[in-house]
Amino acid sequence: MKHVLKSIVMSSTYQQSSTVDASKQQADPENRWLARGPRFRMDAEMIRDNALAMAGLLSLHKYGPSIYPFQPAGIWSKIGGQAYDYQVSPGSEQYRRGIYVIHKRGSPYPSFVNFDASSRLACTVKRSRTNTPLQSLTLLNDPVYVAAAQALAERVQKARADATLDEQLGYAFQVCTARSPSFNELATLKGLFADQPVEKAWYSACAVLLNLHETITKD
Amino acid sequence: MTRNEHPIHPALYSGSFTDPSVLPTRSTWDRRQFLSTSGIGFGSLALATMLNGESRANPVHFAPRAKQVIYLHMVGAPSQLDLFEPKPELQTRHGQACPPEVTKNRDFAFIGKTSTLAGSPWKFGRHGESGHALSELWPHLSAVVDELAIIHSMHTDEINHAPAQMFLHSGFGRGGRPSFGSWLMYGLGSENADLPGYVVLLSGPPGGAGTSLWSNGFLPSVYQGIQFRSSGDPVLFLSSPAGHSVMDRRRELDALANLNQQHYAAVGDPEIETRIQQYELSFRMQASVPELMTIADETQETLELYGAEPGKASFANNCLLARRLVERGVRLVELYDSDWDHHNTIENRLPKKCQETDRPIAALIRDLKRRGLLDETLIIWGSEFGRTPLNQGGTPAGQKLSGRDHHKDAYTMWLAGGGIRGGVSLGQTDDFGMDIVKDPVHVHDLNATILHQLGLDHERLTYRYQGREFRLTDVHGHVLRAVVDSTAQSRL
Repeated sequence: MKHVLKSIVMSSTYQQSSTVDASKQQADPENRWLARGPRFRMDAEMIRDNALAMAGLLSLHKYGPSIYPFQPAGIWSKIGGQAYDYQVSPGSEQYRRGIYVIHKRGSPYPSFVNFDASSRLACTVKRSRTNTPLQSLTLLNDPVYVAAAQALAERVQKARADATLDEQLGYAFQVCTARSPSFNELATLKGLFADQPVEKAWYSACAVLLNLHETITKD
Repeated sequence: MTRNEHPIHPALYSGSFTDPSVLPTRSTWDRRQFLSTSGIGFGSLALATMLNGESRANPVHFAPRAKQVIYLHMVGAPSQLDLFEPKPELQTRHGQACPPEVTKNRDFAFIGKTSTLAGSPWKFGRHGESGHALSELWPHLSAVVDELAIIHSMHTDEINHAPAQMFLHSGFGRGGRPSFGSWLMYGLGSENADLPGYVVLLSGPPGGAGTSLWSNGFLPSVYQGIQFRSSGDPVLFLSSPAGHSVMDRRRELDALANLNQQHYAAVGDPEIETRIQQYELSFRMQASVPELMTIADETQETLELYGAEPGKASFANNCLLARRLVERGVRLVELYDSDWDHHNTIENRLPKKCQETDRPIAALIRDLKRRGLLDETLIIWGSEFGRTPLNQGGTPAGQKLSGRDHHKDAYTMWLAGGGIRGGVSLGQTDDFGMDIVKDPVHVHDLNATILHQLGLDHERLTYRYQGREFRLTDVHGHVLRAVVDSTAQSRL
């Protein structure tokens, strides 16, 4: 299996750019002819792991029992005849990778379900990749992503403490997208600092970066 | 949004079955490209599509009689024998042993076959022009009884709550299949751009099957039901973080859209355009959903009609919310009301449940009617099964009714509005209410009828999964012509 995967990802076909122009899009909307590289939204667990990693929160601690990330009150309060007590895992425990998140089929972790994770009631060969407003709300408001935006802001300011705002924002952009921002992109981010306090602007800028389509897309 | 195989693609019938992932797929890109390049941008049609799943190219199989559904699911199985099925024979024989031939080859969940027969302690009366018999526990419903088509001969395959709930909702007694609501969404899409098309409201826990009752099963997750919660955020993660104003959010979304737009210009992926629109939609939902959930703007008269109280979590409030949701074009609203599982102390608990639900249900029917919405809104009342004519824990003989056990072989549900013939009765049970003697109606028949009223043929609404086509009704189901008003206006 490893051999197959390695052959695929090392191939020049796989390594093509995923940029597409209108005529190619028209000719082969689903990229069946593989004239460009793959581009798709990350899976639910990857989106969370990715955000936590960028924020510097991700715990790579391996093995052990399931973890209990934050979820809104009441989701587990009662399923069937039994009442459950849901206690968020302490400290960095809740920031371990998504594969460790506790799974209750009758009440799966909502942030994952919103990104097409299966409730595991049916066997799924291929998850769907939807694009919905519930995903927007999750990335903007779910406390795990709010915490990630805050932590990313702190991480950037600490890592580039003596740098200019341009350099700091450029670094944050690099962390999230693995490339440098264009002049215009930088200008847009800087615009957030124009009419609000610096701390708040940093939160906004990092939330925006974590919500970018590019950030949650493998391209 | 990725769309799975076209459900009725001719290639499926060509005889060459292959891995579903390589079957021809219907492209969603052409249309999206059209929308993004034609200058009209994303209209409400496209927004509704993105929120609730792509509508089918040919959205209905025949003229729909209903546009939306309100499903009142009484969790736990109300006793039909104390609500809709007067049985004088049971009264006469109350406390006596049940004749062995009546219980022969029959299983019960908890009680033994030596349990005694139990008449209803409540009086029944005939109401309206239809002459439907209703228990005295339904004073308000009695007044609108002519709107109801009552099915006395429901039966199901499952005898315990969670499997029977799953069976009622998905035609299958275990998890993994889509609920009828997800099938409806898959078949029809939504009519509202700012709200989910399939909304779930709870008064009490939804029962043993949990959220799998509104699960999309193997259908794309965009077709799942969305629970609107009565406390906290009505939709999960709807509120911005503490201290975040609408202005703050707007500023962020402007920057986000700007950056996404620049990226779109560079790489040309149409999915980015969709993403931008979804963020705008989420912004609108942050305003529209709380507005919707605030019933305080209803008139005092309406609040009293339902017995609804702003700020309180109740079945009455949920009925009023259901009306507000269908008014706004939400396709399906399902209300779950818990604690109808009366194995014991039925004498106190059943009247309490009726008191909580009778008035709001009648109000919902009246309110929809006066707003001209009843004709296009199918209302379904019922549960996963019914209850036994036998007393549970009621020995020695002669003791009053204590409770009733699960009964899957004969029970009652009713339909109203949405192209249904009000006033009709369908099916008949024996003198004990133990078995059906005329016109049995299986859960699959009911589900076939629900789809039919919405313009969908239950035999043609299929989805390919694990190498074969699936239907809500498996290989069963007949539309209940007796309750369908064939003269009802088309809601196309």
